[in-house]
Amino acid sequence: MTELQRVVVTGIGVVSPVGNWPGPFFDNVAPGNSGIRRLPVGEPAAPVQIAAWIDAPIDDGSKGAPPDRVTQLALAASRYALAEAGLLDHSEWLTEMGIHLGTGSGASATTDQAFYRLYGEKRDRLAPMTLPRGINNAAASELAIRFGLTGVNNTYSIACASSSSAIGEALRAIRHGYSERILAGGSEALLTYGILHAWDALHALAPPDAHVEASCRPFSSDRNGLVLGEGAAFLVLESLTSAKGRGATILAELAGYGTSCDATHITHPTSAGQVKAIRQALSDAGLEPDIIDYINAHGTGTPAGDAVEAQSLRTVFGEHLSALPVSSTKAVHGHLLGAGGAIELAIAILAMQKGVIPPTAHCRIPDSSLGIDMVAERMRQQALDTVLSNSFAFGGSNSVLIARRYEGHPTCF
Amino acid sequence: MNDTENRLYDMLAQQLAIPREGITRDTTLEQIGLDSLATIEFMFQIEDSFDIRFDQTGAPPITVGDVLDQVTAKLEHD
Repeated sequence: MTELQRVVVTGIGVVSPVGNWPGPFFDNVAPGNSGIRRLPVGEPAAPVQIAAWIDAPIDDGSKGAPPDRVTQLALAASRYALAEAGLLDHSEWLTEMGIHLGTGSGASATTDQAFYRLYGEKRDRLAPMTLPRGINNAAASELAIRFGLTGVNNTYSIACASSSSAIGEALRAIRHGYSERILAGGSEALLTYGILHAWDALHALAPPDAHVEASCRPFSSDRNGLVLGEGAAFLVLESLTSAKGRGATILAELAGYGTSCDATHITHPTSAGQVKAIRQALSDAGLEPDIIDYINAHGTGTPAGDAVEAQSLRTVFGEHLSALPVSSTKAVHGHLLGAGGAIELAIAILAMQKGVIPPTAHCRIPDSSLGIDMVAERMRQQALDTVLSNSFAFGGSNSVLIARRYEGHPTCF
Repeated sequence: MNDTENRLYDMLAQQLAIPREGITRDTTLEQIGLDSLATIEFMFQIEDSFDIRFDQTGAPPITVGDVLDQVTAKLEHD
């Protein structure tokens, strides 16, 4: 049997409504600077007025006609991650690298525009590239082509748990020797007319607050829904042996992954399923609950979702929860759905690197009934060694990741 | 250079992000990065832009001149 490999993070790349990483991304997340703004009014006007969206041009390196926005975002974030890892233009390290990409909605713009052409404009044909641009693995395929990655190429579509599962499954693949190095993360670009209508119909979205940037308020007593976001985040994961062998800077160790399904309801979460995934991640990392220093919660800002997550945390962490900071950064970057797990793990790792816990911004009336320390409104400086990130998806899928400071820790298994 | 040729060259330069000055009738589509699928996509965009519909039975174009001839013929025929 192959010896189990420790898995480390050597690069992080983010393209988000609050900036890019490397760049000002964490400097905006830490003080709670929100990227939630009014959406441009299209024709016809969409029923959703606010979102966390990116108004800067996306530098995806494309020449000529750009791919779908979800692919553009993935390309840009991946390039940042590969560059930070020192892998760009090193074909000797890139060739055998794999890709695990999570996306909930995939190429929404391509699909939306195709249907508008047929149903709205009453045209009788679609552009030949509609299908290749729009298939769910288009982004992962484009990444492989662009960077020359010939290893595993998997796309995970598990709603809000897509990218956390993509990362978790990459952890397993590297740990067990199937891959040495994987670019893992997610991309989401679903702020299109049709998809916005679908979300509006679900009655899960927060209405615009008087202060628009404060419309998403996880763990606050006056929380009233989630705010959609767009963006992409990728991590370079590799075996410790591989990272050391090429002299890479190790940002963190990816120590544990747990996954489960509630198997109860298509949208309403169930604590038992979440508890199972969290405990599995702890067990996978070989850790007791009281070793966790910070949790980046799923915390979408819906009344029911936040309450169930808090219940799950009380069950798993018990008395330790009183000393365990738990924040939801969706208040600033919005709900990136299929890219949410990746961007939130990135934040948790950056928090560990910088010794700064980002707050639950706009949590102006902390809901004391939840029984958690939600780091309301203001960041906190605190040394962190072990962090956990929750992602709980529509469909009942739960995915939990644990990262640790690399230095000094013994192997987890 | 007539209006049709001008429009066609503009489209090629813009969509392929290549210098317009380098495009001639003899430039092959392969030279400017259009493989068979990309050529089909580009011909579709020409149809949209010029509001024409090519016959699907003709030989696929090899050069920019071939494309231009097909567009011109279609515009004159329609």
